[in-house]
Amino acid sequence: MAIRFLLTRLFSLRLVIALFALVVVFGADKVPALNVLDQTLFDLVHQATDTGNGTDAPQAQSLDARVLAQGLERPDWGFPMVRAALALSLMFLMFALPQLGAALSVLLVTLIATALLITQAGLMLYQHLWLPLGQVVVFLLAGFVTMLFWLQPFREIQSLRANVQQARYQLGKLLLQQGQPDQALEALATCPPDEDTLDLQYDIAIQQERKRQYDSASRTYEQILSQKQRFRDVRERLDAMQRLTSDSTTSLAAGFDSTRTLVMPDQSVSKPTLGRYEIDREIGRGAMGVVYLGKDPKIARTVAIKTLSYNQFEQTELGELKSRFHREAEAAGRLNHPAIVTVYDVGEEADLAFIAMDFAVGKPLSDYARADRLLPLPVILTVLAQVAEALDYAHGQKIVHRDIKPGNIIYDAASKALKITDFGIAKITDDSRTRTGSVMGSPLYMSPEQLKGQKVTGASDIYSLGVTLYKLVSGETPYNGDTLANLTYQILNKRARSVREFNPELPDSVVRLINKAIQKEPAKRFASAGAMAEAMHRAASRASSKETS
Amino acid sequence: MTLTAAGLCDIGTKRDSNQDTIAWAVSDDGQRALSVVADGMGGYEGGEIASQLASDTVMEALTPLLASGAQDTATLQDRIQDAITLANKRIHTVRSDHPKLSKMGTTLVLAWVQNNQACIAHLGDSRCYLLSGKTLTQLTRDDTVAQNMVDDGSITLEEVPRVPFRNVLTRALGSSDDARASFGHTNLAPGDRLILCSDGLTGAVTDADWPDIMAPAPSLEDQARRLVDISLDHQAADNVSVVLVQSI
Repeated sequence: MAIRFLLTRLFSLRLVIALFALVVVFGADKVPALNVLDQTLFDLVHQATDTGNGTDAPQAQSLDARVLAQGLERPDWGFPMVRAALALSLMFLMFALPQLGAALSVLLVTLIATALLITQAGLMLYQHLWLPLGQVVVFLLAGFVTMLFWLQPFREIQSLRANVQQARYQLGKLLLQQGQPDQALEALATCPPDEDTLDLQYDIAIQQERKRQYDSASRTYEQILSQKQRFRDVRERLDAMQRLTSDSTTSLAAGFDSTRTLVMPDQSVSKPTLGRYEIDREIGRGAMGVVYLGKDPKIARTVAIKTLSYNQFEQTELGELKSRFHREAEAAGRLNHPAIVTVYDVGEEADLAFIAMDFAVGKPLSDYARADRLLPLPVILTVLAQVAEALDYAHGQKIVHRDIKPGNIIYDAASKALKITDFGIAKITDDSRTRTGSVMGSPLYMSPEQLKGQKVTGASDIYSLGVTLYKLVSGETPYNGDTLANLTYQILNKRARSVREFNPELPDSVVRLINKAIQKEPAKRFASAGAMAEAMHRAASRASSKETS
Repeated sequence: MTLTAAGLCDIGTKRDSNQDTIAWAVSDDGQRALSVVADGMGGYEGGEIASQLASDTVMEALTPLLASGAQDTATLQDRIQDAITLANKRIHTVRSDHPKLSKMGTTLVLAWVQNNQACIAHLGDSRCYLLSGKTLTQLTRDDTVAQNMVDDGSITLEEVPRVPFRNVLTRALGSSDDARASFGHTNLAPGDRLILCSDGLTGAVTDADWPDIMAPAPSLEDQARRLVDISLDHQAADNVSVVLVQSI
């Protein structure tokens, strides 16, 4: 490093110019060429003022002697003055010149040289003072010519450098847009640093940070620091990052999974993102994995983000899983109904896939599914009638929910609004491929045909909605088994327990409605979710008129 | 009568880890043999640890009995159940100590052969078959929800692959405190073979084809090798394990 520094400084034309200035200061007497201009000027002025008094000194005499002979005085401040002028010229040549254009520099040098000569002549004529500024002019002109040789390649290098910077910057930006931050960083690493390229690297580092790639972000920050000792808050961020990774190496390495939550880093590290969404906090665990509350910063919209961690799956299953995920999420995304949670976006990160959807305000109906906190009957019937209408719409679009249960219906008691969530998600998380000794999902709301692995249709949703209604009016489900095997057996082979057992006051119409919906044979249930909705609306108005009477 | 045993375990074509463990031991005089296949589950490391733990514990507890032999069937069953209960306890301890392993568990199938008699204990869906001449008989009944559904007539065998809970076991080591195994007994005639295997084999090759696959191979090792090779040819999705015990 030191050698390189020396070499670049030593073999530079600027150093030659500086040496030249020293020669002028100390060896002006010994180098006659330097005095040529002084001599010429002296002769010219001398001839102009020559009064022909005959004391003409012979040309052979040295300039000094002739100056003396002419009676010209050498002021005390003469020497320092000449040296100062030399120093100024040196500065001008070394530092100002490279910044100037060719034409301007020629003009300036000419002006300065002329000004110096005129000053010298003026002093001679009117003050009878001798100031050898000619040396300075010779130095200036010779130095200028030398610098010209250097300036041309220097300017070319400058423009090439700017060109490289620009090209690398554009390349880095392009690579980044194509989602290849590593290649972008590589393109910028060996590039001569400037504000733009540093900015870009900084942006990449922030992005890596948000994507929880803390190791990569640290490397990027270090790369920035290697190019510029201090750049914005890079040093602080790097420190925060190192604290974070040393604190929680294991949890970061493990990343997301269904049981672990995202590590929320401290203030100095950017908030994590999924796709373009900023993650605020965890709001629950769903069928797939952790659910987060997030924000779309572009339009300041609050979203619920359901994540599906890849960690729980074998590498070889991932391809199929991902395509299933996108297929189902996109199908759900086509649904547009006031009572169905809108899916905004489907995305993928290195270790997980996610669905961004409308954040439904309210509580899941499972909160009202215990015998001691049931909703009033007319409310239940009205709400579920709306669910049935939404299902009817979805079935019309050839989309089956597959997992209707109280927990998937969000009800806002204040506004009476409701939203069905998790359309088709049951199909994504079909956990049949992961073998387990313990029960994962419970089939309490699952229709017999679904349990047998037969084709799932709209009739299966009707069955599940029937069980949901059963649960909401009684706090119980039609079948109950202590194990999955037992429960499955009952659903497939046993008669449902009558809902009257648990709620003796239930009107006949509601009991009939439930029994029709939970028939084992799909063909014996309601012909459509729409028909079930109508039946529930009728039952609701009867129930509410009975309540008011 | 002399007993010989051989076994093979392969990661299969689609898994990243091998969660199966196999083990066997034959007494010095060749009169008694113990063989085990365990198929772990519950995540990456968990499955491996659970099956290893189960197999090691059972082998450790029962190997001393190989030298002396069991006095009668009842004693033998008790000893085997004690070993399995101990294995279950050990898995539970590890589960509660390590949150990452909290879902691990394992199947277990174990065969004890002595005096031309085989005693088979199992939990889960790892199976034991008897191959007598060309006749193959399944000696264990899978502890799965799907098997229950088949048994109660809810579904047919052909429907099993489509059932949503087809892979859920009703019993396994580690998933509950109760680890009572199902026991079965059979007589072994000279030349008869016991086949212990994990569901990687049963899932990849129909058991009806096994006798023909094994027939050309002269040694037990080669027979096991042929079964595993064919299941790999069939793109076995799971780990494949086979242990064979033969009386000559």
